Amino acid sequence: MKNKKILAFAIALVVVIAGFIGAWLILRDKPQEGTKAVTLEVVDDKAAKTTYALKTDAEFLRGVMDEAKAKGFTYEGSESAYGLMISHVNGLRADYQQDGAYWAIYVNGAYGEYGADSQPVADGDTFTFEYTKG
Amino acid sequence: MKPSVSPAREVALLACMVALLHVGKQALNFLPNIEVVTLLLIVYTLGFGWKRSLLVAVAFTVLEMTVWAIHLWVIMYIYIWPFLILLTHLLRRNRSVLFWALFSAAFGLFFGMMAALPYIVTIGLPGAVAWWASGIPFDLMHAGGNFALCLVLHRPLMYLTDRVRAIFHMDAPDRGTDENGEGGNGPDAAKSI
Repeated sequence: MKNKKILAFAIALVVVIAGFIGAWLILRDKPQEGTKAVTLEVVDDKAAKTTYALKTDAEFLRGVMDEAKAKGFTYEGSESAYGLMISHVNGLRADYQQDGAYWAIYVNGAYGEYGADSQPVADGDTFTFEYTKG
Repeated sequence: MKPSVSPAREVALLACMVALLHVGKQALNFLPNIEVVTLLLIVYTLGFGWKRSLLVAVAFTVLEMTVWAIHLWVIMYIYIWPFLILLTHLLRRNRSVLFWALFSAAFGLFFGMMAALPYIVTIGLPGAVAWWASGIPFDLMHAGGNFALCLVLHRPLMYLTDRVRAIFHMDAPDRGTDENGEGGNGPDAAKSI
């Protein structure tokens, strides 16, 4: 009789533990999606395009680029007085000194006027990194 | 002649019990939510009675306040440990080590929920629920740690309380007999899994 009570206690405890785990899965903080829907495009030296769709709260393009790393987007560059100078996108180098090429930034189809650190991000924007020769 | 303990020995014993609680807690501080306070207070209650244990819990809480300063966490100690002592006293007839290990695990599991009560006042019910929910993984660790420690150490520690009572000429607390008629208060009261 005593062993049955202890067994019932053990089973009840397991059920409660399962309930707690369920409560944790339901109630825990989930990563917040951003409020702005933006698109990142990469056009490489062979004109192949890769597209990344993101939801972001980033204020500037560089924040979007950092968030896009989670989706496989990569970039490298160097810091300068004018901000980030992008040398590699998705592993492809476009160094003007060495390749005579550079990564041009287009915003909604128009040539970008700002660098990644200062290009504002608005809901619905499309940012295109295009490998450009010359 | 009825066993009795002198006031000086009583104070010395209570001081040692408080010191053991504090040192035990400090020693395991590096392990998140693994603690011996629950086990020790259960053993104290079963071995030395609820009144002594309550005094020890109050002294322990005051000691924690002097070490860590007064804040919400320490205030929670004011009701959590007395609640444990009360529950232990109500269930004192149980002799099974497995029962006490499960009890200890359950206390650890609900520790976060009990600790969240002051937050209902400070940040409201939704905030308190969110605070509790975020700590559930730690409550699970707490339950597991309590279960393991109690399973291994309950019987040796209860034996030690028997020895201390013998040395101090103390009455054993009334634990009655369990439903199988086992137990009583003698030094060789059966303890089974």
